[in-house]
Amino acid sequence: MVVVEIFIWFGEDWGAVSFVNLRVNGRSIDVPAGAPLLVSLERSGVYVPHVCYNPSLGAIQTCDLCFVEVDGQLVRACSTPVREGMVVDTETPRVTSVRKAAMDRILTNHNLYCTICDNNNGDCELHNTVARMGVRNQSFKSKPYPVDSSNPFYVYDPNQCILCGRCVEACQDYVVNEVIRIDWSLNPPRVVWDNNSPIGQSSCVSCGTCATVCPVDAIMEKSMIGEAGLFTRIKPETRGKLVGALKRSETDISFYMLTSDIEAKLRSTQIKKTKTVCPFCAVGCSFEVWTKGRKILKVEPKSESPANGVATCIKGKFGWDFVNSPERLTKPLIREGDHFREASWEEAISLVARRLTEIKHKHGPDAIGVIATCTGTNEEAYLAQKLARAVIGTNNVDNCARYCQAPATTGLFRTVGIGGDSGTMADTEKADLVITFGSNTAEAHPVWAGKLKRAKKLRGQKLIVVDVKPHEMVGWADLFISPHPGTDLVVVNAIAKHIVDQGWEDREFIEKRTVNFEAYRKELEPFTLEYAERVTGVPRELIIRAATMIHEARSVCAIFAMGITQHQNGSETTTAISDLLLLTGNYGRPGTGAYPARGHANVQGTSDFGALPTYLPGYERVDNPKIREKYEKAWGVKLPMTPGLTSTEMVDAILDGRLRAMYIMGEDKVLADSNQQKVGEALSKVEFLVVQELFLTRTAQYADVILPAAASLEKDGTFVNTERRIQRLYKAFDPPGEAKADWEIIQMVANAMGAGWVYTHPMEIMDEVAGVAEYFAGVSYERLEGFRSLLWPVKKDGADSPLLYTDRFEFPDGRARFHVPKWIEPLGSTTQYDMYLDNGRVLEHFHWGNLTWRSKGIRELVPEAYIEISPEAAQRKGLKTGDKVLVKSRVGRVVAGVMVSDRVSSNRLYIGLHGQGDDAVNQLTGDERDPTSKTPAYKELPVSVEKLEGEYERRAPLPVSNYRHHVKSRVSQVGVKVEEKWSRADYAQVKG
Amino acid sequence: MAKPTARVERKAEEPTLDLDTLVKQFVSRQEAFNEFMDVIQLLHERGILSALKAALERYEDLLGVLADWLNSMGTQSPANLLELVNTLTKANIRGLSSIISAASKGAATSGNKQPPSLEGLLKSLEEDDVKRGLWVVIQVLREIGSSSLE
Repeated sequence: MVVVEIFIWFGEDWGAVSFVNLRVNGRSIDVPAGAPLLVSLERSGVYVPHVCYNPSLGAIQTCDLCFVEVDGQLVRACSTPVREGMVVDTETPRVTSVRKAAMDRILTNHNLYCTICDNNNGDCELHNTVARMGVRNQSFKSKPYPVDSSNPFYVYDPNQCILCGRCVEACQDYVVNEVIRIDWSLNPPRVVWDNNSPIGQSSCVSCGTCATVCPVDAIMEKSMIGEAGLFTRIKPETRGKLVGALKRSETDISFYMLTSDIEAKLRSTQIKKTKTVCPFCAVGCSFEVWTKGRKILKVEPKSESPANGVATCIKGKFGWDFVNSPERLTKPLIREGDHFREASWEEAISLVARRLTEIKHKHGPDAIGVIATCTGTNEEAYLAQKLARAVIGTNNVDNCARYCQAPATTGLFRTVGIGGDSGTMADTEKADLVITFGSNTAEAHPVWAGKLKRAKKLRGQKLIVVDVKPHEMVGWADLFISPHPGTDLVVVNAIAKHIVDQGWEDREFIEKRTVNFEAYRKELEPFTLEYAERVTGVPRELIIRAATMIHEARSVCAIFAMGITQHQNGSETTTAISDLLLLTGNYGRPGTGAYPARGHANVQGTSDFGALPTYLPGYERVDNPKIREKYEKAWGVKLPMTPGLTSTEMVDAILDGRLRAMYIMGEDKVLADSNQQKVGEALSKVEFLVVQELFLTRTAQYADVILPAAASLEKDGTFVNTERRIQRLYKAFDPPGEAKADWEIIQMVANAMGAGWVYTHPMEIMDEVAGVAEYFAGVSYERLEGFRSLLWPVKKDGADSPLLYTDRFEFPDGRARFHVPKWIEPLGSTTQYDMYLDNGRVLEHFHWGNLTWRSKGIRELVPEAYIEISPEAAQRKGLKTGDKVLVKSRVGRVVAGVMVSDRVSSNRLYIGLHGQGDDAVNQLTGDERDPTSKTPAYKELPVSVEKLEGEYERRAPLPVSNYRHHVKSRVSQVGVKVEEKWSRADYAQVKG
Repeated sequence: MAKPTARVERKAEEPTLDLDTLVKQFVSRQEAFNEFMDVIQLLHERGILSALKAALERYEDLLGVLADWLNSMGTQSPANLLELVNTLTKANIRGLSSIISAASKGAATSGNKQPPSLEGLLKSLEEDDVKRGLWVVIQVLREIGSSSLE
């Protein structure tokens, strides 16, 4: 099973732990206390063969190769912790004999035909172990199970499976999807999905972690097959014949091993491995991407990937088809009447510069707005805001945080002073209690959800879920609170009031580290249990229980997402959550703090690096004369002092004539902003629109000039994940056609407007940032080399800040502020609009789907957006799965298929964000916004639903291959159940 | 008022070959280019290019034929090949170079004389150099024999 302590230990500096002394093969060595013997031996340069142990997964104990003698007894080195004075022998005749027998057993399960195996890339753990042990022959026994290729992304070949159980460990205890296990009762045993279902009809979520950790070619990415090897593009039947013939004549495999080693070396000339960071959500998964030319062979996360270890989700592992989509923009396009024509870069940039300059001169710089992309790099965000401020002369610059997490930033600025997560995801794993507010973590941030599920399953961490939707995490929760939509603030304040009423507040923390408690306490008075029950619909017992759980926990983390922020009171609710953490002293210690779960890969960084209307890089205010002076000196220009327009206000400003031009980078505003019709009208009306994009998106279709941009794999730079973790991404290959990296394009525009920038690499941009923004003073590409990362603020000497507020809060006096949140009544349902439409992500798609719709496999699993409706509501409305409905709001209408589901309840409906046509949700959303952050209240959406009559094909919107149909078939277990293997009659258990 | 449009009029693809670069590369590596072209010409004249092209086009078929042949009864080629390779890998033929050198010398010497009589051959067996040579050959044969049993 996963040994969490070992995993945590593994990442630590050897200098920071105590040591014990061992005698290994007659030699004295010092190793860190508590470490597994196997790791200690490896790190001391003593080779011990193994194929089932993995640093992220811990000891599995299935391969039996790592036996050593400790004080004369045979033990598995993977599961034996070191202790002082241990006498270890790794090469005795008994050890050698046991290992040989173990390898013989493994090789009965796996046919070595490495030269024509796509896993033979120099890193096949079985191949390397066979070679290292000097094995010269094998006795392979075929298993009577066919290859399962029913999943769109990976295959399972039982005949090559060595039953090491890594995939089981990964699925059960690492990402904790609980789909895969080994059925030891079968003859021969095999890995099974659910209750031995085909993978394509199982509850597998296609996260691909099983394929990542498989040490052989048993579970393999389809994108590797026939591509990785020089001679592997062979039909399976031909391969079978060749292998059969050669293996029959074989008396000694050493020559085959030699040829396959040579061939593996040759492969390395055509396969490139590039470290990158995932471009989807903000968990910040890092991995190596394997490419052959422009072909993406596979994504391989590593144990040293700081945010994710070996975990990925379906999008990060398999959702990369968009990079090589034939629909990529490859040349600049200029509008000519009702169509676009291709143009040279010179012509396009010249036109952009000329028109922006004309508008600036005629209407002033504030007549122009700039939107920076949240999937661009930090360096690109920095240049986008520098273009707006230093070249155009406006603070009208914003990014997609406005649509999602700006209210969270507001709430944290008000109370603790830094608009970012208080600690790392590791803190949320360590906490005694985690409360998620409005976060469908398992679908929106699946790798983070895996960490929470692991902490719950293996360590008994407590979990409270506050959400309108009974999503997957509810199944893991100790307490589920489901308030009426938009009333979370009342729940939070009622919990806080109950804590105060019971005298459970942390008096010492409040007195020493906060101000304004009395005003806060007074404002809590109306939030009685009765009031909360009436307004939120949450029974008072649940509020009391939540307060009690917080009181009893030594450390509490609050994770909150768009279910909280996308309401009129988004800023207020996040403030209330932060207040609650202050009230209970849950800041500044490991396992505590507030964690806004950011949405886009670099939405945190795009804000951090200054693409905000009120802040320069590092959250330094534009209306602070001293700050402005610093940047004016650095940039050599006079800077505007008035805070600019937010992205949502820019739409209003176009319609009322204040804004005449927009430069939108990597943001599909038509689909992303609320009230699609209004946004469309604004973009039709704006005098000049530049869109910088990968694709001809709905927004780009309104443009006057479209500039083709590079994808993340096609450029260097850095991202900041939700933890404030800065990580490098490296260029894997060039952009297609004439497309360019955003930073290059922005520089071309700036220079055409007279800027005179001379950046030749993003590293130079980061160096400039480090010179001006205090939070990034110690950030450099050198310190971020490979998988290294830094969590800002980073001091000049490179010391970073994984956990905030350990000594002081980010206010002049170092004390946190209780801020009294204001209660804003949400939009409620009416007689006409009697249902409530919740909306958000689905696991497989990313937001509006511009990237994920282009993945064939994802399209296959989720081919359309659909309305989920509860069985009771469906019955009431006369609806069945497969019907189509017309959903109307005060603003617009949507047509979508129906799926009756127990993932929604009462009069609540759910639709994914990924619809782009008649099913695009923002045709329904209106103009209500959080008055502070100006974030649209996307989730306050009363609607009516009526069945669409007439002729259309009635079919379930989700195919049978979608995991949602099968989740009830999951079989939960801890570990691989190796004891069942040991108890089989055909297993000669090694006696220690 | 800009209406949204997805219509793009694309120019016909222009050749992407940069002739200047190609000429420069050719001039700087002219000798190598000439030799390369000679090789190509020879491969073409001997029909090897055509054979290779055909083999690549019929790659799967050829592999299939090969696999069938390997699978047919009585074919010992892979086993023999592997046996030979493994035997050569294991055989410890130290000083092979000096033996080859000595053999060459002996061959050269013998080429200058009349063939010996049977009596002469028997007398030669008494010479120390001949005894040592025979002993080396016997040792090599012994190693090959014992390796083949493993």
